[in-house]
Amino acid sequence: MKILLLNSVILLMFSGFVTAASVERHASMNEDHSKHKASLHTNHVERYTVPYQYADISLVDSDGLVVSANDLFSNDKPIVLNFIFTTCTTICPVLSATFSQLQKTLNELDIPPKMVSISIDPEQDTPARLREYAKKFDALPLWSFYTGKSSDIVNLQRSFDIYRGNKVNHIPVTFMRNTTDTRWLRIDGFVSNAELLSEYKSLVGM
Amino acid sequence: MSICAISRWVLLIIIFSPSLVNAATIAEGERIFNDGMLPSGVYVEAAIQGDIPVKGAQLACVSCHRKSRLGSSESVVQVPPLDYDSLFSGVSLSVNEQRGVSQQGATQKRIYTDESLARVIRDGIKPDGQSLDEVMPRYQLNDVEMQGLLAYIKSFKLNPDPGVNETELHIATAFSDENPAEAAIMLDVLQQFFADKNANIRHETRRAQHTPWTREWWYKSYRKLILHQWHLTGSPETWAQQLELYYKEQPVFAMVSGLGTKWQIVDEFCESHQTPCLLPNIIQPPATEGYYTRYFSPGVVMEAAVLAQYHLVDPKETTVIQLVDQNLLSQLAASSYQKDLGKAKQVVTVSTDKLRQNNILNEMPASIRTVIYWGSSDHLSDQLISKLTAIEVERLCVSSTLMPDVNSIKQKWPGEFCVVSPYRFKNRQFDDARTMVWLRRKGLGDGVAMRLKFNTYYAAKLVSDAIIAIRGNFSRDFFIEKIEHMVDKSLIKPDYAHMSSGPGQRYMSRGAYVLVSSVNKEPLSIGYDWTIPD
Repeated sequence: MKILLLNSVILLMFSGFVTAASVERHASMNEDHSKHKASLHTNHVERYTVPYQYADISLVDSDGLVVSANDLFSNDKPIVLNFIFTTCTTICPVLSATFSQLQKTLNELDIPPKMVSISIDPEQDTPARLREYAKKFDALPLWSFYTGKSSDIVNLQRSFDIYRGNKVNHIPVTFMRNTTDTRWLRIDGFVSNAELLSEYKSLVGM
Repeated sequence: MSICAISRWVLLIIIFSPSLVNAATIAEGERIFNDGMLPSGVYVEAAIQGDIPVKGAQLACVSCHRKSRLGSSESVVQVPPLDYDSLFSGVSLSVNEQRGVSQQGATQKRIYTDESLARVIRDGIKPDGQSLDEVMPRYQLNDVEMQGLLAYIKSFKLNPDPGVNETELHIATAFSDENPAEAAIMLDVLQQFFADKNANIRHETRRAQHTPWTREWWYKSYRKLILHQWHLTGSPETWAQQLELYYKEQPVFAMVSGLGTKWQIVDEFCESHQTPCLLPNIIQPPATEGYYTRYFSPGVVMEAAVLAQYHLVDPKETTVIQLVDQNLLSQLAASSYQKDLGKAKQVVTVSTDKLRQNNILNEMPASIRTVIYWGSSDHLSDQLISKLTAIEVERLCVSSTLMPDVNSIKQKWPGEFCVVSPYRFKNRQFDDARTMVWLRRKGLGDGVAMRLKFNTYYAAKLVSDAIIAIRGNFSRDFFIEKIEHMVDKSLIKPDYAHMSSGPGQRYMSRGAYVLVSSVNKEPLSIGYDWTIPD
């Protein structure tokens, strides 16, 4: 675990775009017992900006249509992204309720972003199950759901530094990216709708 | 005092009188807990993170606290148990630590009253004045609705489920007399596995006698595992009665593995007794919904659906012949294939018995590229193979589940060969290593029925790991919840290529590959990648 964290610190430092906060965060995780406490207080939120590199994998949307990661993450619209799975009991309902609320405001904007939820349980989450889940959270057309090949989905999670070995160990993270940037704003933790909206507005310069 | 004021008092007395908390009130609370549905028929509303509304089933209590109501753990979120002692008696000094292994670490001291429990559900404020994390929804419930929910929560006392006593935990395995040789192999694996487990817990039970109360819950949760053989004989119509008799004689906490074709009767038994049944070796689960029956695969019906998808996208495929044996599994596979492909292409179903007697293939349409055989290698005689090659069939497709020894036929078949298979086919030496060590040590590494042995061993290991993970909380629901969390982390593998599980997921491997070889000497490789029918 320590080696992994150290590796990610080194990788992030070489990437050249890392904010001071992100390095501090990774460094502090190696020392004290902050992680133990953090596990009891989920309202701990961290934000930082990282230029994630990912392979151009194929994803499948809730209508069964295939789309490449490059097309999905193309720069024609801002993107708000999270990773969920439909049978998840605790973290994902919170993340999805948050998107469900956020979409209402974002949908009213002149250029609404793409809101993207990618399943980290592709063995279970077929397009039909994603459609059902979208309905449960009243997803508007700007919010779409994707699944894919298991190995691709694991690699994508690794690219976004959210892979934690298995799906029930996954962490609550929201990503955003503006059209003019290759870097993603990463928000770790659970946030309010107001906070998320204000992050989005400042990201796209509103 | 006006009549209106008097009636308000009467109402309040009715609401808060404990003697009047009846079954109907508890049932109303149960609907709020499980479905987020109020007695009025509208969804309960709540807020998370301060300003995010949720309603109904989106975040009903059961979502996080689970069916067991013993809470859960998902990375950063620890959800506490809601049993009566945890909520109303504070820290328990008894044997039971109301947590599973993965939930340990967070200490708790929560002594609630009705009023403070209502307050924490509505406002997230604990008895000590601190706030709960904002992922816990703040529910909008009026007094009557709250009364129902509290009555339901308070009805949950953590008593062990049937099949457990102070020293033993009972487990069954059920099998029909269709295939005695396979049943004997399955029993051999299970008996040796549980004998090993029991040998290892002798010290734990001794330590439990000399342990301080702070560690009681740890050592005293060990039980000797007793395996019961439920041999189902005669006609399947009589199985239900046989199962009831076995259960009456000795209730079991769970079932591990089973063998039989007409499995619906056993499936119904597991569901009606709310007994977790972990079923790695059932070739075709019944087409029912279920919670307590957990199968490894949706069976040959799923395999037929994957093969149909593969043939659907192949433009060269116009007419397909399916050869069907006179048995249920073969016919189920054929009708699934027909249903999925029949509209797009011409599918002709021929019984192998008929083909043996007459050369009906000569009457078939001219260009037949593919023949599928839904059966085992024993029934595909050399005579049948030569009848197929005589009309220049290019490709033979089979199911790896119905024909575990595909190579025996592949070697005889001169043309293209294709196998629909949910099983692992590469890197086997690495993934098999752990299980093979155990099987060899037990004298079971002889190459016979290895799929059955791998799957049975894996299921037995899951069961014993889940029993450790629930500690002294002998709740079957909690046991299932632990299994759901374990499959993705498991270091050993059954024969299935893609195993995963999660809350409420009935199957642990849901898809299949189509493996192909163009000529008979070539090894099989992926012709159509892992596909999960929608």
